[in-house]
Amino acid sequence: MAAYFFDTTALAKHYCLELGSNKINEILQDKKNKVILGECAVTELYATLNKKVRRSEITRDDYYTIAYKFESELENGLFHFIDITALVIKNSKLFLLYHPALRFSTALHLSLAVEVFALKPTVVSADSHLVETAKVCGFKVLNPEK
Amino acid sequence: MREGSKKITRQEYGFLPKDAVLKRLLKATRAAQDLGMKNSLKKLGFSEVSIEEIQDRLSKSRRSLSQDILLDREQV
Repeated sequence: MAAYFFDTTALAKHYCLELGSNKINEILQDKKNKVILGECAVTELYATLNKKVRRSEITRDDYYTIAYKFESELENGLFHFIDITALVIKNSKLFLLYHPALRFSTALHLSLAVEVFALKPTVVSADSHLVETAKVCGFKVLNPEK
Repeated sequence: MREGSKKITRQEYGFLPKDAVLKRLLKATRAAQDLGMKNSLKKLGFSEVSIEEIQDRLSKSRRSLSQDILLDREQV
């Protein structure tokens, strides 16, 4: 079993055909892989879709249809989840103290990835701050855009 | 405490051993599935479409989904 920790930029590439989508879909299609999402990924994904609705880039029907697809794939076991606990928040504070370039969301994703560190996951993200920090911290990393 | 190349250690970050992580993943995944929104969306009349149709709907956007996420992160 190979474990992959996807941040929201990696998850997004499954639903939106863009640079790196092929790599993401190859990982998702291999049944031997365990793809892990932090709980915050769903909130970040839905908030971004909401923004696209506000800007009239997609309709609300589009948003709900995409959400239905995600919820269905979640129900079918395509993704595994790691939950936010007090330790996750404490570790996100550590990340922000040690790595000032990190943003709120990247620190939270990284602290969730730490929760599954024992599985030796590959952290997958198109966020260069997140990828560089994860690498320095001892994670295997993959930027699907490179 | 120092900035930069800080490797993750169990002592400082308190992460769980492999067996405990697998149990926690199972529990959190079941909770996420139990609390899923699929039935609510189904009641609103939505149904599942292919991934190709989803990708087609998002292809009309000005920016890709991951670009929008990255922009939002920079603005926080």
